[in-house]
Amino acid sequence: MRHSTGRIRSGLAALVLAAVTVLVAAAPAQAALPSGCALYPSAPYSSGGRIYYSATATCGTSNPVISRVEAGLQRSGTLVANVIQTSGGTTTLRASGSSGCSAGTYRTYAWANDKNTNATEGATAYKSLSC
Amino acid sequence: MAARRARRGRTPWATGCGLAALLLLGGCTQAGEMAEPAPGPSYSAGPITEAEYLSIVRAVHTCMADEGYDVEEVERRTDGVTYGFQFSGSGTGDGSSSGQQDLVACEERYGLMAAEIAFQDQVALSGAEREAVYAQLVECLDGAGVTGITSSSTAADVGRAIEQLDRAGVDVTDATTCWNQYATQLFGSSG
Repeated sequence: MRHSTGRIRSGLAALVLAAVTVLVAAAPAQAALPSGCALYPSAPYSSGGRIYYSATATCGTSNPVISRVEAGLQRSGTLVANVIQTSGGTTTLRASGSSGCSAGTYRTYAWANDKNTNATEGATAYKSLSC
Repeated sequence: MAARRARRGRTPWATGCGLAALLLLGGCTQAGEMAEPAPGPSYSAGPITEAEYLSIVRAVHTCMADEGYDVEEVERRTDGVTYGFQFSGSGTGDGSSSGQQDLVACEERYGLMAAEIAFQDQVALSGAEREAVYAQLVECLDGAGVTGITSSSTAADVGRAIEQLDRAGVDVTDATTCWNQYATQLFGSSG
């Protein structure tokens, strides 16, 4: 009797341990950028046969923690070009790029990270661009 | 930045699909699958009101929360016309799809892309109201170092002026901020 109670206890303990392991593994890897920081993707625009896109992340003058900004150009929801800027930690970081233009529906998609790997992502409105 | 964050739908417990999760919770979704689409607003073509457009944005917002992302509040963008939200986290999927892929999948469920294009074109200004806002854009661009823009300039003209400045090595952050603020009101989805 004592033997079977012990087996039940050890079995339950293993289940709890496994559940905790799953919970820890499933925890979000990243939180949002800290308060006071912001990500500003800029709407893409066309000029001279190219489409220009950019994104800026800021964290206020006294909080130089922005470490990475990526701006991506989406065409009909698919990433067709991207550009990345990195820093050891700064208050404002901008990534801008251009891509060959063919008429379609575009938007800028952006990612920003701080030094602690906190991250925020977002997008501009969709734009119907001709070239 | 918006402080409130929502986290709804599937709990992180259901994401691991490990033995313990199976034993404790009785199963989980298949790898890479999104939850069943909830009934909600949708758009395919035709006129759309701001309330209808906003309800689609909110449905996408809920969809992303259900996918396990930490979503910030839905807010009107700096263009003064469209709505959006930002988010963080890695979702509760199996890692085979990124945040942007999940966002696009949520948007496709409700027809956001077409709705957003249609709404922007519907609310683009005309007449005296447009002239007044165009004057504000010209003033804003002038302050950002972009000259030569008049009320008869097209969206392409403004783009060309900003791009020339950028190519000359001038910081065009302020100029693109001006463009973001006024272009949609003036040119609809093409601005």
